Amino acid sequence: MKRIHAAVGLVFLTLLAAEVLAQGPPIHTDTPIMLGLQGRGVRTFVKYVYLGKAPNLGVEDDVTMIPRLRVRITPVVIPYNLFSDRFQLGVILPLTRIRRTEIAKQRLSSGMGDVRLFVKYLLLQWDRRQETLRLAAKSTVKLAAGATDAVPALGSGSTDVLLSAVAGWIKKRVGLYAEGIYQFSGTFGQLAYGDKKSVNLALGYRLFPAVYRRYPSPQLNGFLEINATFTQRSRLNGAEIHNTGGTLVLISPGLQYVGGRRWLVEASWQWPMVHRPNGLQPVMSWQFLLGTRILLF
Amino acid sequence: MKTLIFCIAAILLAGIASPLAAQQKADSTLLKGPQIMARVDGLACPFCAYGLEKKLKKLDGIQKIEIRVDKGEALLTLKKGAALRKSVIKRAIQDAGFTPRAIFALTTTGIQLKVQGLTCEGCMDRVKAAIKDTPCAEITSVNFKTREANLICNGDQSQHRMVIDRIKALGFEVNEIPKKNKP
Repeated sequence: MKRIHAAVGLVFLTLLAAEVLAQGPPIHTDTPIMLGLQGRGVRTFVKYVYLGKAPNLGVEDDVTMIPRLRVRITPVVIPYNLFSDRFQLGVILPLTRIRRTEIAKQRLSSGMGDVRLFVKYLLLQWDRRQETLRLAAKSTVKLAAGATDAVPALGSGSTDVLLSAVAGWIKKRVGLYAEGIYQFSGTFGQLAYGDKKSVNLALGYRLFPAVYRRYPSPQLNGFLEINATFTQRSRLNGAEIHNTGGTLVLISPGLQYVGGRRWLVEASWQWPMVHRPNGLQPVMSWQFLLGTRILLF
Repeated sequence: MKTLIFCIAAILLAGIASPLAAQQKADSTLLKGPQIMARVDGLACPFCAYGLEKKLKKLDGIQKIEIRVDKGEALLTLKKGAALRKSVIKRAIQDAGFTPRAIFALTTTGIQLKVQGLTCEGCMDRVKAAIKDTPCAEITSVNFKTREANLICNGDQSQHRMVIDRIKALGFEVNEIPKKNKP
């Protein structure tokens, strides 16, 4: 763990010392900069999540009772700037496919997951030459749109509200982004889901070209993100459910290629740096994201 | 839940109100072609320059736009005989989500200035701050040994006068470099 901290710190310091020009929107962390591809486009990606190992037991799940899950999510994100570039409305439509494997038994569901609606408002904009610092507030409502009668379920069955603060600073070749989210989780019948706190941090660095002169020019960006989620235990009829909630911290290196005015492609791999689920739960082994953003309006 | 709905409503209202609040006092100076330079702050991310290009393209009389991300500038080439109000360009930049700074016509009457008496970087920072919103923000050289700095000034004579007065007010000496002696 110390080595990871040292490596992240070293990369961070090296990049801060660099003197050239900026990069694109981060892959897993939100951005308060609601311009270009982030304000007038559509984003989609394929995200594969593999939940398999049971570290509590130290063995693979197929010799335990814990199911193995392979999740493929293909969300379509449509943000739209209303009135000005300070105010954004958006919808996230996640097409989801979940394959659940237990001992000698497989189940598969696919369809629409829980739909999200969000509003984002730019609270602070501080601009200087080749530098910008912005802060936005965001509110998201996650609707119980995913089927709960499917096995495995595609939705949670609860309507949740998420409030978040998003900050971004870009100077020359470096970009830093931070996002804090609090999720007020809803209920599904007698089940009250535990609230969630998330913190996302992203460091972006333009790898190519060293100096960005004229717009538009192709560029390649590198990202190193840390995505942490702390989930409280869920409750059933007021009693805590032991095998729910926990802490998950992912480290997410990624690459992004901006090919011109209207499109970019991006890829990122995520590994758990810290995964401490409460009790006995399937544990994430890795996530992979391959996506594109296309500017429409 | 009521508090939450109230917060969301407040954000929505603020979103509607912000474009109205952005309508500040307008500078209606008419800028004539062939080229207009607009300095833009916050132009740090190339991916977000699309909106700026789109807003500026919509202005009447625009023939070509060149966005220089490394310099934080948008160079507008106008159609023959066209002219644009400074306030219109400023508004387009604000609508694109950026902060407009100096906007001026690139003319053939540009001059070079020599500033004397600069002893440290602090002096230079004071000069930079004084000329930030003027067509003279391009500093071509600074030499603390000879205590001199050279600036290139676009714009018209009144703008040149304004810049010279501002720098002199800081206590430095300013002289125009005759055109034939340009370095």
